[in-house]
Amino acid sequence: MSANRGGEVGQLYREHRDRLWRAVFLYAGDREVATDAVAEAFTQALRRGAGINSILPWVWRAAFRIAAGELKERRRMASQIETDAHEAPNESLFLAEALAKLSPKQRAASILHYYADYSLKETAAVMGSTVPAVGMQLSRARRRLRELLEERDG
Amino acid sequence: MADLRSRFRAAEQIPAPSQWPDIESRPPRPLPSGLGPPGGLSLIRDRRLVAATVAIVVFVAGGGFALLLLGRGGVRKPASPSPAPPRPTASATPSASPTPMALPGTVALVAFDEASQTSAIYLVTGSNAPVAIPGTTRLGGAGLAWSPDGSHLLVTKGISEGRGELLNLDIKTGDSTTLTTFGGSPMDPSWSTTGDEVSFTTGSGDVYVIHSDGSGLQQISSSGDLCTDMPSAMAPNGTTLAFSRDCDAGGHPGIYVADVGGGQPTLVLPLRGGLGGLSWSPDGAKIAVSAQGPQGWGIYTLNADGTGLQQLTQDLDGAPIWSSDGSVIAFIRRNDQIWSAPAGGGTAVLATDLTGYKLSSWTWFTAP
Repeated sequence: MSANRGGEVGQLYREHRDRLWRAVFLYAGDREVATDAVAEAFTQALRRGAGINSILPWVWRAAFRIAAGELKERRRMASQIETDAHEAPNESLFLAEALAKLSPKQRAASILHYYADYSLKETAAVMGSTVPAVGMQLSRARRRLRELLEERDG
Repeated sequence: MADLRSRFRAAEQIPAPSQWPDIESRPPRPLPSGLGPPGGLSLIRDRRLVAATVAIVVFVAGGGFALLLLGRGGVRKPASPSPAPPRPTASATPSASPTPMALPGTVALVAFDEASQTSAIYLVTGSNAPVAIPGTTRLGGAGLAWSPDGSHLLVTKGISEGRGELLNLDIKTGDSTTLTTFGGSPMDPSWSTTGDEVSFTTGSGDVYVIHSDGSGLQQISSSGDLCTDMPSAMAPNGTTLAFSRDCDAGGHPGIYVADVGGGQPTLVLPLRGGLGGLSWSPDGAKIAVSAQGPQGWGIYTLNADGTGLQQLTQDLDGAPIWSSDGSVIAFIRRNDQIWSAPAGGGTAVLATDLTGYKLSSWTWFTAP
């Protein structure tokens, strides 16, 4: 790959890794999975170089997929949320616990749309889904999150 | 309760790692498998990634990587109580065409124009460039449908924040009326041939039918927590509809047919998933669907009772629409091309190349 493309990936890595990490952490509930997924996604982007048209959307998509694959392998989502999220401030802890109760698709759609500020189209692109399907997942997620968070708020 | 965006903004306080791996020296691993291409009309921005994931799916037998995230693109295990999907009777014909052969009639599409950086509803006639309908920015992203006479479009609005509406838009004047706001997220509308009935899916993933004057709301399906019933299509007879049910593990994905008058929907064709659009033939005898069928991704046709499965295309094709004379099925290939193929099987040809536009939904009107 060209030095310029490598430099571009490196620059994006430095600028976006924390934000992407928080998104993947909210999705996975596991610091280690999130760190590995983000680093691996950027590593893949670095190796693929010119084979990627738009680096950042590709990296977001790859990071979520890598995290999902890792979670599938570990099968430890619920317990890990309890462990890792305690390092987060209370408000974030409530959110992480509520997100863990959503389906993976609902959780991913919520994080991408409400945290990462992706539009429905962009969220669909990252998820490899369609706009209507993402809209439906968001609708279900909103209802469930409101129930869970209002319950928590008392 | 604080709004959800505020809740999510609090996540910025979560401490990120203080030390990060060096990606220059880190050896890359194989990307996770089970990453099938998305079904239906979806936004595929990086075709190389899609091609790579398709290749991975081909090589990974057994589907042990059912994945969480990919929605319609995920590899799913067949629903256990369901019979195995029947094999299609004919294989797909290789498709290639260097010269676009424009569709007759008028195409309406919701797209993002990369040149002007605007999203709107565009009309395309023949080989002409897309023309935006004024005032339609931010409309239709979650589906649109022609009225039977071609004068109106049903379009969605405001789905993103749960204040969704289904609008009836006059394409000449740009005026619109709200058909329904039911469920907060009415999506993927379909019009009956008579123009009297409209079907749509709500945010709960269930299919409803409503009279085109906004009265007579009726629930047709109950998708449950595992599944989503979307999209739906009204049959020409106006009393039957078909819908795709896409499910997580444990559900029963496939093509369902329901009687608008009542009764439980019938699973006519179990499928693994990737259900991304369906359309009735004008005579109501057949259904075209984009899906991950028994021989991979593509457009399939089947009889209304689920028999006679035939694979029409073998590509990442979505959102099939039958021509009014029943001879042709048009569909979206990748994200920015409209193709068509003979409904009975044959070579697919490029109809409209929309390079520079990113489509999110489309509909096609041909006068009967």
